[in-house]
Amino acid sequence: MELITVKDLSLQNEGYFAFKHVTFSLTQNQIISIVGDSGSGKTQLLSTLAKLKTADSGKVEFTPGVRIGYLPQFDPQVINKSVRIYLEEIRQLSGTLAVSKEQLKGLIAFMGMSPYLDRQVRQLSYGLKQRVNFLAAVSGHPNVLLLDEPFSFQNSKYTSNMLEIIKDLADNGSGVVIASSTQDSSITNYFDANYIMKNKSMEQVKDKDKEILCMLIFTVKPDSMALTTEISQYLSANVSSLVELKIPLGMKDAIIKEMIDLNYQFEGARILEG
Amino acid sequence: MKVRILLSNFINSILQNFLYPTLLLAFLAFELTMNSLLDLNTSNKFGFLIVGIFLMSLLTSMNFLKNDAQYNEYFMQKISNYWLYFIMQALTLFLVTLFSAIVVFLFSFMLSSDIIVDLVAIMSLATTGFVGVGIAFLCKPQWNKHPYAGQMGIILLVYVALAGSSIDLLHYVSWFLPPVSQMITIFQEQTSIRALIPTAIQQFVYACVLIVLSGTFYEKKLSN
Repeated sequence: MELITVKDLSLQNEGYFAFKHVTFSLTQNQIISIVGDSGSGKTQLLSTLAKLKTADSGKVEFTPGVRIGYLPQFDPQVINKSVRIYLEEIRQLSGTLAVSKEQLKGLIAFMGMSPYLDRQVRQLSYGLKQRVNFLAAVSGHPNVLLLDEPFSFQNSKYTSNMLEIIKDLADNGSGVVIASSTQDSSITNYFDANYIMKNKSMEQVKDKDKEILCMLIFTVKPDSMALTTEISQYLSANVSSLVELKIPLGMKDAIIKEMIDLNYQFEGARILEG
Repeated sequence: MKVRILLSNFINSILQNFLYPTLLLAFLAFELTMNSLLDLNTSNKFGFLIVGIFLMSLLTSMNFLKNDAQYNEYFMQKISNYWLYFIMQALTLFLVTLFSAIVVFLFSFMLSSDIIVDLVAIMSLATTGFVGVGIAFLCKPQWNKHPYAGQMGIILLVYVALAGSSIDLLHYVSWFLPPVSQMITIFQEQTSIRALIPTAIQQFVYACVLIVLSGTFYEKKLSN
């Protein structure tokens, strides 16, 4: 079932397009990723979907009864309450449909916020505030979750935990939109659809699904030469004499040959799913 | 629940940078020294209180709306009810103005033995403050999309509010002007607090009209 349908949506700020002609739809159980450079209009688009801005043209249709959870990329609100009280209040705002008190406690522990429960939100670092705001956004058990740069200031552990929570929400019928300026290749598997914001417009990245990637592993020998610029662009990891290259499958043979010419020991290859 | 959260957030916004307590204490200090400094009679003193509470509530409301625009950008999304949010904003400022009116009147040492007179005086001060709240609400785009139009609106409305009844040219549109100076002139002519009741009611209605206009004009359409 479609939760949000966006048709030819455009927004201007003081004569400049924030975004234009955006068309897409978000369905239940779907996680959408929007990637774009700073200033490409991601935040403005999410603000519009969160009903904080009114578009100049186009239409956003919300399925009746939709509950939106929104994580802004930066919330300037000065919160003088403790994390415990603040999150409990936000949970109660969503009424009976929100997660239970016990579930919220579990989510807080999962996101590593238990030691900070009695600290005032305004005293926390940016990273911790981001986690509090993420918990606030999911505590209402929304069926549409809009996340603007959710992984900023987070290490891989909490990024992974956030993704687990997001995946769980999506598996239980919610739709999720995640906007970010960069995207780690390790998290792309979570997304059902990928969009890119370019020139203020949004395009779906269709080829990405079709493109099969392959990981090549080499060990460095004492006489190995420096990697060429062409090969360096595929470098995934270079740790403890081990070089990993992530390449399109079609280039596999050519790259192996070139690496052997540069005196690297080929150890193996594996296909990357999704 | 929403009402409690909104009220606590808005009270925080009002007190955030200490402008309101500073203004209130400065006003009270001025009141305490006013008698010996200026040797005013009751009607002049009440005129001072009217002008003072008007400016104080205007500045407090402007400061609140500025803080709200600056810090509560995403707060309304959590409440997801524009009119509840807006009504609670107005209600919070009305309550703060009423509190100011009571404190200011108590410190003016103009208390009479007739409780009705005291109540009318407090009500007159409070409704004058409400007009300041209304003007701040009407010009609130100065903190958003229309900074210059909003500021010019404040200057113009404060001018006609304080000088309106002394400009003959504006006599024909006096119903359109903020009835603040009218309150002072009526009190000076009648020297009876009870004579202020119609003007106080007029001020209350005027403030409500300004606030309703502001709420309707600047309504955030929560759909596209």
